[in-house]
This record gives sequence, structure tokens and C-alpha cells, in this order.
Amino acid sequence: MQPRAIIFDFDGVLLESELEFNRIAAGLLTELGHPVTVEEALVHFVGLNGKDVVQAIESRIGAPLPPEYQRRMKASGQRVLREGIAAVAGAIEFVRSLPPDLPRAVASSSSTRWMRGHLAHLGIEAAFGDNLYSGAEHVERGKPAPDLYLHAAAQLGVSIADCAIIEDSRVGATGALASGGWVIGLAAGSHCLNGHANMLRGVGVELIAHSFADVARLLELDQPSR
Amino acid sequence: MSSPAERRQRILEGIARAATLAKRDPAEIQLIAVSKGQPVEAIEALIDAGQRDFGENRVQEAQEKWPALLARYPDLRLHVIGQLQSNKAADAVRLFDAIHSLDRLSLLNALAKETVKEQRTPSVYIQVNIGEEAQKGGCAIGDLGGLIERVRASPLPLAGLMAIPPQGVEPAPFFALLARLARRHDVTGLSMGMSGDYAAAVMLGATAVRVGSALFED
Repeated sequence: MQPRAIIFDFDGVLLESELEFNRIAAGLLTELGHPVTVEEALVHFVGLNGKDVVQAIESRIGAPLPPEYQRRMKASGQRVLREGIAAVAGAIEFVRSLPPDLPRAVASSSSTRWMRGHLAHLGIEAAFGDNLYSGAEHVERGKPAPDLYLHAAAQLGVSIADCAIIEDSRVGATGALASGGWVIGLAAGSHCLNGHANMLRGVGVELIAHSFADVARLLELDQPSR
Repeated sequence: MSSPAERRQRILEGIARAATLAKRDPAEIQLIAVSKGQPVEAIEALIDAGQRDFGENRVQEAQEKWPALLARYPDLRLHVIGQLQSNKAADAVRLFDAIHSLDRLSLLNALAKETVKEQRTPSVYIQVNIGEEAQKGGCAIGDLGGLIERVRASPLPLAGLMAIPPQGVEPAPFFALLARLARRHDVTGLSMGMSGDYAAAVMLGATAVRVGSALFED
């Protein structure tokens, strides 16, 4: 397919934040007396929204979430926003190699401050300009509703039917499929364990990519030179 | 247990769903039932369910099974999808309506000679070695342009490109690559996608999918 625009999810697609956050969450829970491994956190917490994460953690540790947890996670979030997180392998090269006239946006459940800060760390802030759309800031219903993707497409001036959407999570892919865009399920981030592609297939994603090189092939783009 | 008719219906619905997602007309997509190794009774059950396109891997097996069926159901279309030796060209031209595995000039020449002799012209798909695998059949990507030109200059109509992606890796990027090659060479037909991945193939432009186990087995 040749899209007229690309909409990127952020955490877990461009940024290794899913891994980073689950690493922090596992460490914190363990420190607070509820041993959880990073792998367990990845299996049980990835791709969930705020309320559901709390529920998943509580059912995992069999106790109410320690009051300290949220406060310290928030502090960790601020620290990593200052310090930066690695990009998903191939993401920076992929974004830089996009045809300059191909419209693109980020559509994320995170805040625009989070997106902008990390894009700046990665050195690809200019590639997106102001086309950073947040489920919490730009639409009433965030993912898994399709609204954020529809909003991003409208802002780019491209019909959603002509947009490729790159998503890695169940919640995101569900919303992306409902929007009517072309959904590529990306299983490239370090948080993607065995079975990630099948999880995405399970929600109805037909096109799976295991790397940004795969994404480039699916979108018939010239591949970034290495 | 599902019946052959139910399985066929399910696949047609899967094709239609993928086509709709891709804003394509499902009627553009031909479902080829790959009947290699299947007994005549299983084939007839699918014919009764409305299936008209069938694919075989080997000329010899097809010769044993199909002449009687074709006599009874003259509107069937038979496709050969396996590797074809040049010395089978005459048999292939006599029996098949489409050849999906043209991968070299010598085979094209043999087929062209027989079409004149037999007064019968099957259409051909050029099989591309899309994963650039050493042992795999198919024309090398670099040789594709030349072979397309030769087919276009031959009496055999060019139906499109065909590929079988490497095993054990995600097939979709290879389908996209085949679609890109087709566009580059102004070819419209794409024979790609099998039981496990036909929906992805349809989304990426397949005009013919070759489905065996999902049609014949529960």
C-alpha cells in the first residue's frame, strides 16, 4: 500500500518507554514488598490504560496498590522525561527517511509534553512539527476509541482511509482498526515478547511488521540506508 | 466438523473483509482451491459448493484427476502452481488455463512453442523469488524486467506476478514487495497468499489467492 499519511503511536512504537516503564514498575513493586519481574510486568501490564493498569497490578500482587507507588512512578516519569529513553530500533532512521512531503503525526495516550520532550531527545522533533495529538488533550474519548486517529487524520488533511497507522498495543490497534485506517501491527519494541504478533492478530490486525524495515516494505517506501 | 461449502464461505467472507478494508472490490479476487493430494470426491464437494478455480502442483497428478472432471464441468478453470519442467510444457498447455510458475526464458519458449501447436493459450504468472532464497524457484528480482518483456512479446497473455514468501517469517512485507514490483512494471495481477495469510495478501493487492488446507481440511 502507498499511504498518503502516516500516524504513529508513540510509546512502544517510536520510544522504548513500554520497556522502561515496566522495568521501573517491576523494580518499584519489588521494593515495596511485592516481587514482580520485568517480564511479568510486560506480560500483564503492557498496553493497558491507567485504571486498568492499577487493576492488573492489584490482581497480580494480590493487594491494594501501595499509596507510594503512584507518587514514585510519577517522579520516575519526570526523571526519564528529563533524561530521555532509547528509540525503538530503526525508528529514528525510518522517520528521517520518510519523503519530506508525506504528512505524518503522532497519536498517543501520553501528553504532548511527553511526546515533544522525547522527540527532542531523539532528535526527530522537527519531523512532526505540531502534529502531536494526545488522547488526553485533543479528544474526549481516548484509545481504544477511534477518535484520536480521526482527529490526527483531519488535522493532516488526509482521509483516514488513506492513512497508515502504526500501533503496537491491543488498546491502540483496536482503536486504529475502528478508525478505518490501514493498521500495521508493529512488534519491534523490546517489550514485544513471543506472541505479541498473535495478540495483535487476535484483535484483527492483518498486517504485522517485526521491524521498521518491514514497515518500509509494507508501505512501499525506500528503506533507510544503514 | 464443517462442510466444504461452509469452509469456502468462510474464506470468501475473509477475502471480502480484507478487500473492504483495502477499499477493493471483493469480486476482483479469485479464490483458487489448491487440490493437490485431494481425492476427486473432495474436489467435487467444492465444485458443488460453487468453486470453479482449482490449482494443482504437479502436471502428472493433474492429468490423472482432471480430464474426467473437466469433461463434466466445462466451466472449471485449472491452474498449475508448482514448478514446471520444460518437458511438461505440452501437457501443461493442453490441460491448464493459467500457469503460475513461469520463472525462466527456456520454459517460456517451450510453452510458446506448444501454444502454437496446441492452439491453446494459457495465461501466465511470472513467479518471483521474492525472498531471494538460494534453493527456491522463481525468477530473480533483478531478472524480472527482462522476463516480463519476453512474455509480453510472446503469444502467452501475462496474467501477473506470483510469489511464495520464505517460510517462518512474516509474509506481509514480501507481498508488499511483490505489489511494488508489479506496479513498477505495470503488471496488474498478483497471485499471492495461502491458507494462513490470504487476508494480508488481499489487503496488499492479491488478485488470486491459493488456498488448500483451509478449504479442504477442518
